[in-house]
Amino acid sequence: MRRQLPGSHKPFRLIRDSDRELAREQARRRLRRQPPQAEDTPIDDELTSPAGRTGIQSIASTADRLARTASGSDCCRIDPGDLSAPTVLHQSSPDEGSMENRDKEASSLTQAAQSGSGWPFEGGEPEATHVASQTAPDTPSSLIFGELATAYVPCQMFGQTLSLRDALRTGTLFPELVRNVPLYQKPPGT
Amino acid sequence: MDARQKEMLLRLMELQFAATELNLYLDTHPDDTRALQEFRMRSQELMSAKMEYERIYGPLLNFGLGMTGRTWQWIQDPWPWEVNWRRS
Amino acid sequence: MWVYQKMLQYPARVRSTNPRLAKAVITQYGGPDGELAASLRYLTQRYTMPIPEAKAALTDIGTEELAHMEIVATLVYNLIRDASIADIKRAGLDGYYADHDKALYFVNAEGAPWVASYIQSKGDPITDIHENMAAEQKARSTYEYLIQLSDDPDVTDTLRFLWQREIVHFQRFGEILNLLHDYYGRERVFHMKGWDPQRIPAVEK
Repeated sequence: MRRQLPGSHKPFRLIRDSDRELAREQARRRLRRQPPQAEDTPIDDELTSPAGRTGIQSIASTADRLARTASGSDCCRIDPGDLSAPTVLHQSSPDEGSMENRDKEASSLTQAAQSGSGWPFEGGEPEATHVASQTAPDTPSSLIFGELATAYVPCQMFGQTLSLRDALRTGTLFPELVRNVPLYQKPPGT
Repeated sequence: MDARQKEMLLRLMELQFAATELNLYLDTHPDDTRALQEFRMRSQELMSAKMEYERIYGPLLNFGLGMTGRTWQWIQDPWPWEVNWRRS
Repeated sequence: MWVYQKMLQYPARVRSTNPRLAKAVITQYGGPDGELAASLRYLTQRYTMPIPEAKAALTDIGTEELAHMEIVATLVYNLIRDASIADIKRAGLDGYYADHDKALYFVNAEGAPWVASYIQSKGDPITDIHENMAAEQKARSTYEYLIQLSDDPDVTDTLRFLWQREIVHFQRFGEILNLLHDYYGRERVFHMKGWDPQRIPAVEK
C-alpha cells in the first residue's frame, strides 16, 4: 500500500510574485551596471579580480534573496497561487560575464599557471570552473529551487488548525504536519 | 486524583499544547498576525483555566508563579508521573 | 531560569507492568537520540545563535524536550514500578537493577550511560541547525522502532505523540535554517568591501 503524506503533493519551488520578480530584475541591472565599469567611484581591487567577479555574482544572488524576503520577515513567503506556474525568471544576458571579465579571469589563470602553483599536482592546469565557483551563481536550477548545495524546508503558512482535543491527541495543531504512518517504510517481511 | 481534577488537567494540557504549537510557529513567523491572534486567545483561556484549577487544587507552578492558598499544597501528591490516566 | 509545572505535557498511560518494554523505551530517556540529548543540545547551542528567531526556537524546543523527557520517564517508571525480581530477570533488566534498582537513570537500551558526545555544539549556526534537523529525524526513527517493539497500546499512544512532535520540530528547525541563510546572505553584503548596502532595492508595496 502506498503511503500518503498529506501536504506533500505540491512541489517545492521558490515562487516570486511580480513585485519580487521586478525587484530582482532591478537588482541585477544595477549590479551589472556597477563596479567594474563605473569610473566615478574608486574601484576596489577585490572587485576587479576574478574573485571580485565571483563576489559580484554572490551579491547578485544575495540581492535576489533579499528581494525575495523583503516583503516580510517571515521565514519565507510562498504564494500558493503561483505554484502551478513556475516562470523562467532569468535568462543570461549578453552583458553578463562580459568579454572584459572573461579576459581578466583567463589572464589570472595563466598567471597562476606561470607562477608554478600547479594544483593539485605539479604542472596541473586549473579549470576555469574552479575559480568561478566560490559562491553559487544563478543557474536555472538555483532560480527554481534556490541555491544548490543548500537544504531547504518549505515554509509553513498559517491555515486551518485542529480542535484542541485533536491537536493534543495527534501531537500537532496543524493538519498539514499530521503524519499517520511511519516515514521509514521497510520492505515487507523485514 | 479524582475525575474532576483529571478533567481540568486534561483541559489545561489541551490549551497549553495549542499555545506551545503556536509559540513555536510564531518563533519562525513573528509577523503572522493570525497566529498571534490565536496565540493570544489560547493564552488567555489557558491563564483562566489555570487560575480555576489552582483555586481548587493548589499551585501548578513553583517559585511563586502559582496561586497559593492558606496551606502549602505544592507538596501534595500525586506528582505528574504518579497520575493514572487510564480510564478505570 | 526555568520553573516546574506540576503536570505532564501529554497524559502518558501504561496498561501493565512490562520491564521488557521499559528496557527499550529508556533509550529515549538517556540514549543517543533521546530527549535528554535533544534538550541539552538545543539549550546549549542557543547561546551562539545570531538571530532572535533561532534563540527563541532553541529555547522553546529545548524546553519542550525537557517535558518529553519527563513523559518518557513516566512511561519507564510505570512500566517497571511493580515488576518482580523474576520479571526483571526475564526482561534482561537484571544488570540495570544491580546498578539502579528501579530508579531512573540516563542509559540507552543496552545500559550504556549518557555521554556528552551524543551532542554537538559547533558554533557555526548553519551546522548546528543541520545537526538538530538530523537529531529530530534520528529521534523519529527511534520512536518508529519503539512503536514496532511496543506490545502495550497505551504506551504506543504516547510514543506516537512524541513521534509526531519530532516532525513538527524538524519543520521549525528547517524554517530557522531558511532564516539563517537569509541572515548570512545579508551579512555577506554588508561586509563586502566597496559595496553600499543602501543600493540594494527593497520591494515597495
